[in-house]
Amino acid sequence: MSMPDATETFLDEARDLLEQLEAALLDLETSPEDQGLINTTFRALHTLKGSGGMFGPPEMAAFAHHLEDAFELVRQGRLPLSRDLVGVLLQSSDQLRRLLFEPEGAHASETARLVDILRSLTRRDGPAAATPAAPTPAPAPAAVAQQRVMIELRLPPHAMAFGTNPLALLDELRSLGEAEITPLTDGVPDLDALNPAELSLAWRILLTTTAGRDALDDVFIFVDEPGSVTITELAAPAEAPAIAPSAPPPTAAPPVQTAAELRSPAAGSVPAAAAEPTDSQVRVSAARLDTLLDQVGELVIAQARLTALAHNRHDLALSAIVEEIERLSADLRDSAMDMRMLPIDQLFSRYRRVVRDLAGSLSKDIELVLSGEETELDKTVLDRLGDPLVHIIRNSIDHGIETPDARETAGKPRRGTLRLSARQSGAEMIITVEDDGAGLNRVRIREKALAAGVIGAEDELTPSQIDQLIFHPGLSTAQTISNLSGRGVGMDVVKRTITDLQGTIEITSEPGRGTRITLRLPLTLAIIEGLQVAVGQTMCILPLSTVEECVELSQVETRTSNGRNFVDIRGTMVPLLWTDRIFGTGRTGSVVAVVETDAGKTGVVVDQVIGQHQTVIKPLSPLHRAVPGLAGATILGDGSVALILDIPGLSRAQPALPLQRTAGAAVPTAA
Amino acid sequence: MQIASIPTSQDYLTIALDEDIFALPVASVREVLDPPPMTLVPFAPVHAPGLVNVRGNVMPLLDLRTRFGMEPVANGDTTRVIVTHIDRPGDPFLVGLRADAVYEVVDIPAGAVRPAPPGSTRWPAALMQGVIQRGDRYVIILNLEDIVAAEPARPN
Repeated sequence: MSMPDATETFLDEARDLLEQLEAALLDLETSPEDQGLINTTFRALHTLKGSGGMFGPPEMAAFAHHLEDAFELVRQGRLPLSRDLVGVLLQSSDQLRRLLFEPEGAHASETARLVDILRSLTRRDGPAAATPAAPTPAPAPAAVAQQRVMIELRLPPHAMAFGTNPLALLDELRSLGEAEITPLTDGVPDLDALNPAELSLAWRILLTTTAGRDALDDVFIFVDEPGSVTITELAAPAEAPAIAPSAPPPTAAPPVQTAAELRSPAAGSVPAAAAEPTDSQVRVSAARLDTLLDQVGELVIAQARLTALAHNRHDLALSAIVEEIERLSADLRDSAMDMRMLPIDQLFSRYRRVVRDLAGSLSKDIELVLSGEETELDKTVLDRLGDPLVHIIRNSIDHGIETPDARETAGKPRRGTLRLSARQSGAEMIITVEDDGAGLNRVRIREKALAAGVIGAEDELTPSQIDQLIFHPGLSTAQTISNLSGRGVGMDVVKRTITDLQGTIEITSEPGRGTRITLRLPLTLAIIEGLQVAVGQTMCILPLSTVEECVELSQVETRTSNGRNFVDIRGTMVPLLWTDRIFGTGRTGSVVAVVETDAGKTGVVVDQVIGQHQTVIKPLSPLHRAVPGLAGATILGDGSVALILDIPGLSRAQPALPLQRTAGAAVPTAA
Repeated sequence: MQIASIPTSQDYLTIALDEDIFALPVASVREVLDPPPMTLVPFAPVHAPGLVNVRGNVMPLLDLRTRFGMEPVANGDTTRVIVTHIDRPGDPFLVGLRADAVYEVVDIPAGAVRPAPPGSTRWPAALMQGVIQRGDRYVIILNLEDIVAAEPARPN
């Protein structure tokens, strides 16, 4: 591995470690005595210091060393983990990030400041001051009588490749007391099958020591595999080193517990990757995954062509193998898509920090409640969702949730609640951001919209229509510009981003009770389920998730009002979109596909509904990106190009172009 | 060593539009095809009326005649589509350029390309990178980046 690679790997790892560190610290704020979290924090700091010393800037490694030293006191139970200390540690993790990723900047003074604070915090509650209030999370006191433990060390074969040195572990054990070490050779294969790079030896260690259980666990703190270390506390020193512990030891701890289990973080509090050390992970660049998905997309298209071809041949043997390939490529597609799916927790855990800091700076008391963090979403969607969600959350904290005093006056608990939840529903991901704040100030929104000329004085708007105005460019209802809002990103930008992701955003608000913003997003952007329809000679795809139903035009009643046509779908008047006019086919279609969009339902009149189609979305070139109503293209089984329609876009473009085709519009000459 | 890095000549592909001869750098050309079936795109720019599928790649078909303000014509026996790679920084893409005919690859010395004298041709200057003289005819070198601009510069 060349140096740049190693450095890059280190930075990747450091990014993950910093995320873990931050998540653990935030959890520690609410449960400061959780030993698992404390160990996670310590390990993250230790690894940052260690690999930082090799690959990172020296200032960063030195700073990480300071942090590790300070946190060591916490881990030993000699320093209580106060909120102040967590606060400083969080700031320090930010500083680590800056030292790592902004090596150009001048960070020395900030580093020195944090080191000073850390020093003062650790000195006050230093080791000498045995404050009675100091909690001692360590279950076993440091000075116990001599005890005998039997340790069985059975590391996985690849342990050495991951940097575990079993000899160092044995040496460390030896330093704790009198150790009797027996190698276990039962796992060693015959010489011809022996792989010298793999570890096949195991050890049984009989240790007589005064060190407590914690000290033992510390030896194995970097052994990640559960089950590889078994520590059995033997009841009496005289007992023979039997293989099975027959008598339960007198200690409070369960007799047999693997070190890794002991250290495993509190369930659900740390990203899944860290909680499942058995599931070995491989780092793959996103670009390589994209390539894979592209190739799978090609395969799906080629397979569709093969299916079409086989269909016309009426050859049973051929059909059988084509079906097999069809199934395989569908499975392959699912697996490839799966690899791009990431738990939304990656996004949500970032917001815990945002909420904490923001609530603090606004003197508000806010509890963030997360749910559905394990829901998975395509990486592309996830990446682009980060900023809009931050904005929505900021808005909720800044404008939605009131100050504790105002809440009390309104008869609500002083502490506000912000709920962030994600769930999957069919091919959609639904994310809601809900607060129990004051709700939208409709009077003010209306005033603003009037002043901005967005609505006229005579416009009668329903409450929900007023709510929708916050997505209009140029409306911001904050009375004062805080340091959070007014950064040039408005709800209109949020809405545009969500729309670009083929998603929708909707807002409901109840005065005095709170506001809820719901985002609906496709799980993936690369392949969608589509409904293939024909408009004249052109094949078009409507995203299937948006199609509610298809009806024969002759079966429904049509009406005209204000020059627009409507159909009556079970009592609801649905405006019609005449695709024949847009495509210039000169023949009115016969089927209405009812499409649900954020602007309501639209009846798309097409010639024929062909059926469901696995649509591999091909991006558009710059030449066609600005074309209204076109979301992308795809290739059909016969090799022809079908258009993926964006119905809201088409609806907007339609009235401006009643049948006339002038410069700038396509001349439908056969090419 | 330095001399070797300066290209003394470049290969160009010459094509026909109406009565005129145009040329584009061979380095940008991926392949030359008979016109593939095109899917028309409503509301598309007039010079890029639709999309074609070339070996699994969906790309816009750009009608060079329309781009240069010539009368559109139906596909003829010699009509070809030149699959061209546009190396726009950060956003490279393929485009099929429709031409009336494709002639040959010619090697043109670097010094032979001259800026188009103003008013010397009927075509908008922005679309031309320069002209060269071959025999008694002018060959116009296409400025691909401007030709594929989404908003066509209006002739004149």
